[in-house]
Amino acid sequence: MNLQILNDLRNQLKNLVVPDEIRKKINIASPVLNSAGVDPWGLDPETLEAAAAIARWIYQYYFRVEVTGLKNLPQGRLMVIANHGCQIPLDALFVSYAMLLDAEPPKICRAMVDHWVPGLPFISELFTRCGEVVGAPHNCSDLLKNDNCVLIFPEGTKGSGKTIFSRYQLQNFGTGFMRIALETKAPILPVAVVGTEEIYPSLMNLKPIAKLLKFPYFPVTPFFPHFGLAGAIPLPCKVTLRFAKPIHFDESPDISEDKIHRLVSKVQLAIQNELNRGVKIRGNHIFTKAAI
Amino acid sequence: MDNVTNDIDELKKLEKAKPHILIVGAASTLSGMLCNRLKGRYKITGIDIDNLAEDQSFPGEFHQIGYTKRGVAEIFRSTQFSTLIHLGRIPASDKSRGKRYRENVAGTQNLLQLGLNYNVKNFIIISTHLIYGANRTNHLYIREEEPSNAAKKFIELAGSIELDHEATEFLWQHRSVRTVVLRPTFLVGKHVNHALANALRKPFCPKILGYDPLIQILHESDLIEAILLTIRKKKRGIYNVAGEGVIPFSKAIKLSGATPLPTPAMVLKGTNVCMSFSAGKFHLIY
Repeated sequence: MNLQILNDLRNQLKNLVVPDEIRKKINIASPVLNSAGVDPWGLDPETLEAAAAIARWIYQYYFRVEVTGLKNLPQGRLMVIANHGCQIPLDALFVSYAMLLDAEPPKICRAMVDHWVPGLPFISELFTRCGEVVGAPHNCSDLLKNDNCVLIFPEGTKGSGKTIFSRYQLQNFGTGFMRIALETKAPILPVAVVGTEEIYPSLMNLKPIAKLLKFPYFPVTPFFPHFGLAGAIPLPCKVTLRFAKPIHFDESPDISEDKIHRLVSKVQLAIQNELNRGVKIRGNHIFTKAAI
Repeated sequence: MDNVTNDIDELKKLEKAKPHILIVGAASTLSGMLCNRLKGRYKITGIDIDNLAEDQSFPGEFHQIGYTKRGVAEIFRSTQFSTLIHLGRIPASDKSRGKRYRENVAGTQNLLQLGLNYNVKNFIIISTHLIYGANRTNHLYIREEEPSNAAKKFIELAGSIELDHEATEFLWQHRSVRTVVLRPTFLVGKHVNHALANALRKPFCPKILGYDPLIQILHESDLIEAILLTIRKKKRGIYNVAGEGVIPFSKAIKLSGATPLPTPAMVLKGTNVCMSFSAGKFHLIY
């Protein structure tokens, strides 16, 4: 009886917090659910709705995200490739939210997370229920073969762990994603995320401490770690997502590594160009001006 | 009177023509379920290292014997089996490590070799998905061709891994016979008796605080169907056997009518429950 009351209260609270728009968009994106209410990769639409409702405040009011170029998305499978310049994966949240709420048709974008993420308590659970999947090649190709949209940061922790002095300079891309794109014939959608690289202005990476804590990196910013958790509050920079045109590659997945490198360079160049354009438009007005 | 005699002779002929199946691990509850489906259509002989339970019956000859004992050869000598079904893998939580290893490895090798020597044409070996091992670098849907990494983190499974290797090696080496290796995921059902199934039966089921791994489960009757299908169809090879899709562990607990009891990993770490969980796809111990 008590459990029933608690469940009713939870549902009413959810109806109050989750806007209809989010619910509709998730319905349109229509993940295929099994009898346990999750999709084949563990996504739970109820958790996604609640997370998207909270993300909405962060997206619209804290970082005031603006989007350009998000038109004429190809139907079906899609591989979204972005720069990874934030110490915590806020860029994944922004791109996924934009793909769900601003894209037409809405797409549930499944971010490929690093292998250490499943080891994080609570976060791993939340990420899985929201559709994130461990970035193993088989997971990625399985998702694409089932016409999903995946989000990949080919810079990996090299990008997210870099200092403010290398901001908006793309680190070398991994090449694994390209072979999967060719194998699954998935178009690639390059995205430049402008504004996230100043959210945590890392001055240096304390590698010994990172090694001790088993973190991929340990940033020192003007506020962290000396102001404790208060120093970890992100700066409210204005964020812009600049989507480039989708790129279709027709090459065979068995081409040589040299050729793969050349194709990866094309994608990297497309994102770097978008970044350069965006940063130029925005200038030094990191809190106020959109890169559009 | 002559007609009756003819009918009896006919029935005897039919009975003689029935294929004879040897079930290894015949005292298990799964074997009981399988025998219920096989009896009438097949003649059945069972062997097990344990005796049948008091309330358990077996629809055929039953021998309590270790799989490495000389008496096993005599069973093969006296009967022409068409099919050997190996349900007798000893799980990581049962028997001593030495006995488990001996029966799973040397025992399986002995049974397969005897089967080959005495013209058994079909071998069905029930292995386990646990051999793949819980690893955070794993992708979600593990394929049959992937390596068995379980011993890296959980040495108690070494015998099960070795059993699987024996079976797969046998499959590739002896193409004149048909070998099928089935690797079922976590079994659930009222007859199943392993750590996870037992935990799900209790009113409160421990769940590691902060983690809710995705698991694949399989109902015991579905495994029996898979075995029957394997007997009927003339396929060979290695097959993972799983229910459709994945299910968060907390949902599995709720569906079974229990209440999840989130417990810090440190508390569970020293317990048997945790040991058994870590053998599966639980993201506690990498």
